[in-house]
Amino acid sequence: MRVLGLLLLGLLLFPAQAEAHPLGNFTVNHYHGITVHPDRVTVRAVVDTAEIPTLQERPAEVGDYASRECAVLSRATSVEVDGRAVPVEVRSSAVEFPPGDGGLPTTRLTCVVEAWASGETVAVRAGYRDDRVGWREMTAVGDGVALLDPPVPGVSVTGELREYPDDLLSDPLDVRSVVLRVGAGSSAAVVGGEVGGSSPPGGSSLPGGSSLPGGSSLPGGSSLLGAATQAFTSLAGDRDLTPLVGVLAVVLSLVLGASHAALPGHGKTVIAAYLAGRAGTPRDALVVGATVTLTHTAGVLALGLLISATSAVAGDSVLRWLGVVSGVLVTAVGVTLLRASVRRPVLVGHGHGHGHGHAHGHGVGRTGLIGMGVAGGLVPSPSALVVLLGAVALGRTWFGVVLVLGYGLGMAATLTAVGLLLVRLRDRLAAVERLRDRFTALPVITAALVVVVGVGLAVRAAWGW
Amino acid sequence: MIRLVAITAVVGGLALLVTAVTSLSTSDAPAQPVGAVTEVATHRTVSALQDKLRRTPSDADAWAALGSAYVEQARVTGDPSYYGKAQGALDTSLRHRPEGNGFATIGLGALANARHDFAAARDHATRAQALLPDTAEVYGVLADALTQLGMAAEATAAVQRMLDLEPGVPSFTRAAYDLEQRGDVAGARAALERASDAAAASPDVVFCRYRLGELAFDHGDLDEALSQYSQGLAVDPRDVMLLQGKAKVEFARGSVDEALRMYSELVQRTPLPQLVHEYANMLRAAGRDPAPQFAVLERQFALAPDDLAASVAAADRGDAASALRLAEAEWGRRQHVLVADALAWALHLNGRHEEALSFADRAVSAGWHNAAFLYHRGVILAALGRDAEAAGVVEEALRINPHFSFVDAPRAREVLGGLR
Repeated sequence: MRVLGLLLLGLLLFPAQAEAHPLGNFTVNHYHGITVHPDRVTVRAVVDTAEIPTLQERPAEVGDYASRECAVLSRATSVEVDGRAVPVEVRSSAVEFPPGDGGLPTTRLTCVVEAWASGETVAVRAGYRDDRVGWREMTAVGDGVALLDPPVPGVSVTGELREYPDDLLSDPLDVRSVVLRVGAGSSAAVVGGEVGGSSPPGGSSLPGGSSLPGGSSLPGGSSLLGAATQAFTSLAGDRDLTPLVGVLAVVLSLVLGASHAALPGHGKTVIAAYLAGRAGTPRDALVVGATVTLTHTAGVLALGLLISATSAVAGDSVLRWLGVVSGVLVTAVGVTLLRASVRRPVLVGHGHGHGHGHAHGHGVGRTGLIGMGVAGGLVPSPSALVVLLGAVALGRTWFGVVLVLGYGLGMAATLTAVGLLLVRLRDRLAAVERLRDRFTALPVITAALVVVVGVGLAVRAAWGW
Repeated sequence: MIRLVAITAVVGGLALLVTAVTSLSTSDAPAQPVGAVTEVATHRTVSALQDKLRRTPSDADAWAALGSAYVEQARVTGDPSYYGKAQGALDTSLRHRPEGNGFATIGLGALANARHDFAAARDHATRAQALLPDTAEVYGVLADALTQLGMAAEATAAVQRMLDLEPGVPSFTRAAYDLEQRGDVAGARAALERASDAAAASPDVVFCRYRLGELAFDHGDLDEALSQYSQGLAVDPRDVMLLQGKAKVEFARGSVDEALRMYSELVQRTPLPQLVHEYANMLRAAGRDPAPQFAVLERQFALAPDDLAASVAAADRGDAASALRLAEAEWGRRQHVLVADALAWALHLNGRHEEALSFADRAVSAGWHNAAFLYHRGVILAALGRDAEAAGVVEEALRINPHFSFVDAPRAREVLGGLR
């Protein structure tokens, strides 16, 4: 093949663009102005087609261009009211050809479409020429109804695609869908709500730096821990990595791992219950901690690798399956425990010798402990994953691995500390020992508890609660 | 007995609490968009820098990093509006630190390369080199500029320095291009495979697969080319260049209608001049009317001048005079072998075969196994009456890649038939 594109490695293949058309001369830009009336939804759609696509399409030579394209646009625009799709009809269509660069015309298509329905939520999705590069903007106002917390502004920031803002710190707007909540009264704009961008699912929840109101920060960002997590993920994405920042990031990863393990829902409670119920030793607590670190680090690295290698793997579903596996593992350990304690109730009587518990550990032993540790560390923490992938993208894979390792160590520290604490407490409290002697049923109850929690984890992960 | 009941109650209560809390606490866990992370990895760098600059707007380093990230973002998203932003961010960085701002200078060089202003890119890179002599990015910008300016030996040295400083996707892919131009196809393939192994982020993986596919296609290995393009498409099914590669293979295998359908879709979606030009040639080869595509192409070059591509397009649509004028203008700016080849062909079309041959010789002098170069040289030799030599050269072109051009590959077979 003739080598036309100069094969500029790592460079863009197209030559300099004249800057007069703000978004480049082959963009197709979209604006959708939504007005919600008491009985219908009106959308004023403007499509600004730059010089090159105009040249390719030659709309001026097509007699019924406006009506034809607006019909296509109305079919590509979906309006749902209270979850029901409503047919969208064209009310008016117009086209003009404002002059652009190099004496070439551009195309400005204006379609007013409407959908007759009323309800409490109105969802609009724009699908017309959605594979083109370009600016995508939506506005929403109520006429005779109020929009509750509309997620898009009421006024176009571009004057309906006539003047594009020149803000060095924001990306081109990319809003393709909106969900509006409708109340009685007149319109009042409040910040918040959900906006669908083109970025892959969930992409909008990353701090996009967009000029939209209510641009949310990382999920869970309300608490102090959330703020720390955000600082952590942005540290790895920081370009100028000084030694101080590096050390800070590692320390932060330890602290975050430790606090992450302290949060509920991490199997920690299960492990603690297990250690308390069986006569655990400090060494057992350490084994659990080490297993958690290893499993968590390996899990994050494996999943990170998988996601980097192929974007076809949806991280969400992998996480869910790992959750199920983790639950099943805990259940299995619980069942083994249950069998051991039912078969050998006599062993329990041995606990007298001031609770070093040698006799107790044999039912399941190391394998069971490691099983618990694996279950505890199997589901990679999403924030650790984000950090790893961010570091990989910056070519700092090793730094990312170190941070993930630190995160796992932090988690392990908390879990081990809790385990040790419980071992300590139990050694001190003779009462526990006495109880154990009297009620041989206690290990059975503990084991049953582990089974219940394991089933709960698995079911929860499977249904995505 | 009461104690037993009490303990059972406490344990049961705890169990309930644990399950309740764990199910509540998951509400925020799946909210993290893990699957989306790689796609927005570049974007994350951009957003982190944007956030930082909103807090500390006078951070010259962050402005420089943002400028370079915008250049990269333009490449990944195909959205040229990032060029203007890149320029603005780099200018801001230089305003805050006018002297000794190496990273902003690198960014300006990368931007100049992206805009095909290679002489400016080389100057920026040289100035950055004085400030940051051990930074790999400097040599990436320098190597790209020197390569395109036709300074092959200096370019090779820059690539080598880059490899020494930071072996990775950017240096391996540049090394591969350098080796390919010097005729070391096996070395180029090995370098690309190493790049591909090192690639983690999806845009890098896609880029390496495309280059491996192109290398295979340019040496006639359709199966391998298709396999590489398809592996890239598994990562990003919408990538324009990989789809272009696949369409070329379809055409080479005789599925002309399917190839035309794919190209027509591509030029609608992303009218890159390269794609419009190839589509026009494919229409010519299929006996359809390429005029509307050439018209679009001509206006594109008017909006964004690119004399090399414009010269080749003019030659393809039969405008020999324009082809020569444009090729000479480009040759005045840079002496890359691609320009030598275009100038040779334009001279030949204007009947100046002797001069044409000297440029055709120059195009092949570095050893690049480029089938189009050889075909052009063969036809020029034939025009000079050196039939035996011509036949050998054209035969060699077809041996390297029987599908080197939609239009010229069948012609090469005719030429060869006529010479024997």
